[in-house]
Amino acid sequence: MRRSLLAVGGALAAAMVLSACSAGAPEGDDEPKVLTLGVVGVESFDPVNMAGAGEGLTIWQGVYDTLITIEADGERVPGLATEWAFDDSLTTLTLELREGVEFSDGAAFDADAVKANFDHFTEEPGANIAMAAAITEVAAVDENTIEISLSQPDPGLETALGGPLGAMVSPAALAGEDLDTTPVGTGPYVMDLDRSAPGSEVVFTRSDADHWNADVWAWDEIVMKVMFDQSARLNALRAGEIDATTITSQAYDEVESAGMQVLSNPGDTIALGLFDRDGAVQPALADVRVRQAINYAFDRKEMLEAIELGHGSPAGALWPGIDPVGGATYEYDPEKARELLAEAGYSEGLSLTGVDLGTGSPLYAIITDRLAEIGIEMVWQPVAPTDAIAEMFSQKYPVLNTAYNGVGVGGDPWFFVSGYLTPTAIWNVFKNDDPELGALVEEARTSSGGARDEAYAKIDGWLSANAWFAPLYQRDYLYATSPDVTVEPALGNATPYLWSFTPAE
Amino acid sequence: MPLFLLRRLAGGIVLTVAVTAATAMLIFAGGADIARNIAGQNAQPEQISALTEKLGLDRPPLVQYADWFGSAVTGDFGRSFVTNQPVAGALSDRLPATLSILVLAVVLTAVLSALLGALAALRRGWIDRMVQVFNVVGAALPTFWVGLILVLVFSINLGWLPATGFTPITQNPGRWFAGLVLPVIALVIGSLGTAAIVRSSIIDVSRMDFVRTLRAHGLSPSEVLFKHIFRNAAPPFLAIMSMQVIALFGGAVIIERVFAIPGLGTLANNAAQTGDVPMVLGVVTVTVIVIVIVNLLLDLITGWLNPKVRV
Repeated sequence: MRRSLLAVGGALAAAMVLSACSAGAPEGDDEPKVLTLGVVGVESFDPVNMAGAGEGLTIWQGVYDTLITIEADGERVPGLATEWAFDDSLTTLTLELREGVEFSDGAAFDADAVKANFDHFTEEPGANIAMAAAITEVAAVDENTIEISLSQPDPGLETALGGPLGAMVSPAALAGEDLDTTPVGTGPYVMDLDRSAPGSEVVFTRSDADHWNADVWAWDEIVMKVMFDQSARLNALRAGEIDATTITSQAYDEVESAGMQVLSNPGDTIALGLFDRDGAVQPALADVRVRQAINYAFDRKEMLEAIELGHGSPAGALWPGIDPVGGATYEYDPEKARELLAEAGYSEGLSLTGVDLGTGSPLYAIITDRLAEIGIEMVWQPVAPTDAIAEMFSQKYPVLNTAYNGVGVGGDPWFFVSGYLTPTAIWNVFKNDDPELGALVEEARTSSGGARDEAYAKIDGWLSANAWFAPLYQRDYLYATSPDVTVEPALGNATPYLWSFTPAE
Repeated sequence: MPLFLLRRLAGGIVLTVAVTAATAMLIFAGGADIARNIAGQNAQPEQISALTEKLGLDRPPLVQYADWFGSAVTGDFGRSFVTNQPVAGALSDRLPATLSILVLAVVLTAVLSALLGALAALRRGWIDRMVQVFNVVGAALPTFWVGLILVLVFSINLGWLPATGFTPITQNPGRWFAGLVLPVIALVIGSLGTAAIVRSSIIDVSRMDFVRTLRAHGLSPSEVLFKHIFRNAAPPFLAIMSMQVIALFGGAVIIERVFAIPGLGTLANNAAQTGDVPMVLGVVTVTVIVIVIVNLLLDLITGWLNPKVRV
């Protein structure tokens, strides 16, 4: 017994010494600079399916260059395209391509390669297909010029070209079977296949090819470790096993008191989406006074404090830098809410149903309580995770909790307009088609620059006056990093862009 | 013996088929929802119907299962609906982590339970009381909580052991072991109740008439203990161990999450959430096979210890 205890003790001690030598050892000057990120998941590397926002976007930024680069502040600067311009009708976009660029498999980056990418994107069914919905033709004008023809102006096209639609993959890889798991791009890094395992860890090492923008990339190696559980990510961060990761508001204090840095960036708007605006399931919602009454029911500061521990701001204007024209603001006023309901003929109250996604968020209970206060009974229907999407879009539920990225990746308001407002938008759940709003959206679609911003300002005002949503608060995207890393928040994105990570001075 | 083995193997195959068929039927009942879920919230209806057709989800569930089964017996588990990764590849990536945890936890549980149980039964006194207290306390503490406390103390505060991750043994045996110490301890703490079974089993056997007779015949105390008491006290211990293996497998799934270990648990969890049928069926098949094999081994040990069971 004594001997076996000794053996176990000895093995433990050996393990500790071994691990102490390997984990968290300080890096000297000649050590390779390695950035290790804790990520919730690594999804597809096929542009048709890969993420265009959030952490998923950060993950592929080292291997794929995009035609247009969207900087952290939202500015669009040259990427694989050095110049681009729309024609006067905004239906033809001509791009000049960067010369002398090669894919990591040695293939040349030219107009034919770009065309192959667009063909793949429009022909292969995938989650991002809407990004290319307006594209009717892509033509190689010459070796380094490409022309994209559109059926109608698409204000989101430039943002899409800075995202999955503009991410360029080697034509040979496009045709292969492993595109989902094995990226082959023109980026400054390549995936180290021997050290990467899909779904658990991805290792990117410097590409052998000279990269046109190599200077902005600080690391010799970038590792993405999949850590689904937040407590595991926090532990890894505190133990020095990762350099940065996404956190929730609840973890803020713990992370900060452990000496880590937390980056706050205005994020998603949490709202009760009053989707049944024509009253298909709950006729009361067709009356704007009922939708306004619901807006008066919530104490937004209280909710922000209770749910996000104050990390965010009570919901205001949709878009930073664009002040709404007209519109309404709704302070917490249950008295006024009850009056509006009575005016609309619902003094006896009414009942609403929504989907409970089983997140355990106190949001559900708070909404239920506040609505009860003005005489509305809120019923949450629990659904299984696998049925969540189908149920939410089933048009059975007049209202839904929603978290929309109003800011939009790179600060592009079209992100929200095309996702939530147009009659075909996914999150226009009941496909409401209001002529007034439709005209404003059309105005935004067919204008550009300051005129387009004016249209957006009117849309924002129209939405609040007509109470299409009950925005509750805007939460902050929180991102924790070790003191060894500095990073810059990216406008409208939950995680910083990969190139903005640099070793702390 | 070969007959016993064959019967057990046949049972294992029937079990695998039954469990995978039941799993498949449960998931396939969703039909169109699987494609909806995989296509994501941005998908348009045409895209969903195209995906439904591409994945063959428009066929009757029985046909889909038969199709999967036909390929699976040849070792082809298909590709993930979600990531398009070959399922067999994903399983072989993930299995080493889960098996490492499971094997170490099972061995450590068995050895510690046998040692502590035997000491408690033979020495009584403080060690006996300790085993009894441990039995209750260990079972009452949630594994994930124990895991978190261990990480806090040994990884974050002391910096002795890794807080997360898994290193394959082929890459670096030292790191492999270091990474497994905390998860395995967290699991084993919850399963040491087995020691109490060993204890009572040894005490029961020692009180039996044949033991008194053997002693009266003048056999040495060590001969009585090792040849007769332990051998007869073993079957209840092994029976409990075969159940512990399943419990530890379940525990490994939780502990993988706490320690961010890329094992079968995280794979199964993600696959189940997205309705990734081929991946779920792959994980279920591997899980059933592992459990069947472990139980077979324990049956063989039981048979070796006690010929009466070997029928």
